[in-house]
Amino acid sequence: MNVESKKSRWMINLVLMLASIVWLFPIFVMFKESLRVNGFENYIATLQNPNFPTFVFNSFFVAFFMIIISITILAFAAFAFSKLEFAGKRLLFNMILAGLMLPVASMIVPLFFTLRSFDGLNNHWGLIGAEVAFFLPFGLMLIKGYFDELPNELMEAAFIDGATILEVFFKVMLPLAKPALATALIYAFLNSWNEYLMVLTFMTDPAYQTVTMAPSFFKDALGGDPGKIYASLVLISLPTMVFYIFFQRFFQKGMTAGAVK
Amino acid sequence: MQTEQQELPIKPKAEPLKPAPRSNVPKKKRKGKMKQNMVGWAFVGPIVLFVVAFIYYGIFYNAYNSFFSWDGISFDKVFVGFENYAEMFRDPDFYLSLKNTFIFTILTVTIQAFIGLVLAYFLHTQGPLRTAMKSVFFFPVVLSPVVLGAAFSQIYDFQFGYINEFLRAIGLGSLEQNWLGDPDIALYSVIAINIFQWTGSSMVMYYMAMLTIEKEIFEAAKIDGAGFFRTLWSIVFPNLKGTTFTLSILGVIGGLKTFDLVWITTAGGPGSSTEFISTYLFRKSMLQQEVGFSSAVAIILLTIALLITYFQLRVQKKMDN
Repeated sequence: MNVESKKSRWMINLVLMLASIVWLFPIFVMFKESLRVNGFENYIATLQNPNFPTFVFNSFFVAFFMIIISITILAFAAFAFSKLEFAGKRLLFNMILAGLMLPVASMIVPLFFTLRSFDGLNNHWGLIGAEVAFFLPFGLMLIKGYFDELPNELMEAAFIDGATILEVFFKVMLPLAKPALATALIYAFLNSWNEYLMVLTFMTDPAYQTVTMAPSFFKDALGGDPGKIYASLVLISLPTMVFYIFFQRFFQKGMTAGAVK
Repeated sequence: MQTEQQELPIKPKAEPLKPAPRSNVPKKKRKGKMKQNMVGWAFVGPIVLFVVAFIYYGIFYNAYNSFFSWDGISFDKVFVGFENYAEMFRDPDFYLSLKNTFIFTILTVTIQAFIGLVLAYFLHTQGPLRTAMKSVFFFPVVLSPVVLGAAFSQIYDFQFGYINEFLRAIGLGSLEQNWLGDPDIALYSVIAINIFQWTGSSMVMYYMAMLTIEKEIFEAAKIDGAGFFRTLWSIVFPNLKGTTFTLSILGVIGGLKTFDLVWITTAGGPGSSTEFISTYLFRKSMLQQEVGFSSAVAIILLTIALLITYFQLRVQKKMDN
């Protein structure tokens, strides 16, 4: 590349530095505001509010089962769509992928009534079900793409050795697909943790709401003490931040996996 | 110089498993095929069940409801034919929400792609701190729009916001704005937050794609005397058409889906100046209980999403050939 001159090298670095500062600024604002007036007292007060642990518990509960259910369903489905032949395969696959385009907003009314008939409003399992359904299309694309890249030879060899389809799936293919499952898991967590519209619509009782409702709840409950609201913002972002720091490469991989079809 | 540049392993795409050749007896053959189908269906059964129950049922439910006048609570559900659609096309707020969604989509897609491309190119060229900077730019992607929306509300605040205080401090107080409160500006303030959040993902995708461009092409450009930006414009950008297309599609879909950020920062206001198609839908259905009407809006939204998908598949086919 044509950056022989020290000057242009220097310019590029300067631009990158400035951009990094701009990108870090809102995060900095969040931390700074969270310490306003009372310092760390804001965090302690937020944590001690009886509702905050409830939000966090609900979020972990919903995310945990949402992940377990979706990854289980996806592992079976992605394997079958990639490696097995059966009638209606293409049609079913396209039908599921079409769900990628669907804005949640266009589905809240039907979902609302569906969940209500199953007693799924203000109920963790209702929210989990809806979140799973909307994650499945993306997850399928992600994991099936990975299965497509795995060679068939291992599987064929296992079949010749007399293994059943379930043995092939559990003992041969699933262990190979671990990286894809890990990427899907991280995205499932992110989706569930950050879900807002479904919680807003289906969980009207604060006892069942997740962390994305915490800021507005505290705005009403604490009379808008900004320090505490920002402390709650930092606290609810901590799990995703930690996840991001440790599993960065999976995040960026998932990004591009979604792009290559 | 190019520590990260490496040949991406290109694995031949594995073919789906072909059924093992079976004996010529037709009856047995049919039996084997049936068994194969049963196994496949058993594996995909749960996903199909979920998607049908939550998504496809919902689409039909919307389509059905869109022909009724209904508040979602009472028992009197009156058939009104296409009246909901007619009313929607008479509602100026509907057009406004489409227009805002359109402006949002165009601006976010182009600006995110442009800044993402430039950042990716700079990072691709420059060695030091590359990984750390990539992490910084990508970081907002993992944050909830709720969190970002709240943080930016503080930055945009008229009286105590960082932007206005900064402007006052450097003597440009006359330029201060009510960033989220002025109907002429609010939409663009929301757009800026979205750009902040998603540019990192454009950057990562361009960056990954740049790694697949052969080094020789860069070398050749250098020998031909192409400058830095010339190389970006004439060599890099045309080679990344596929990525740009993918980003555009993701951006358009993202625009149709955008709800959280708008609801947290402006809730569609002031007035209807930042009403999006999704917030319009939410307001009509959940806040104003016009369930029949909002179902018609949902069907229009689904139709738009479907048309975009169709367009995407057409273009992708052309590009693959």
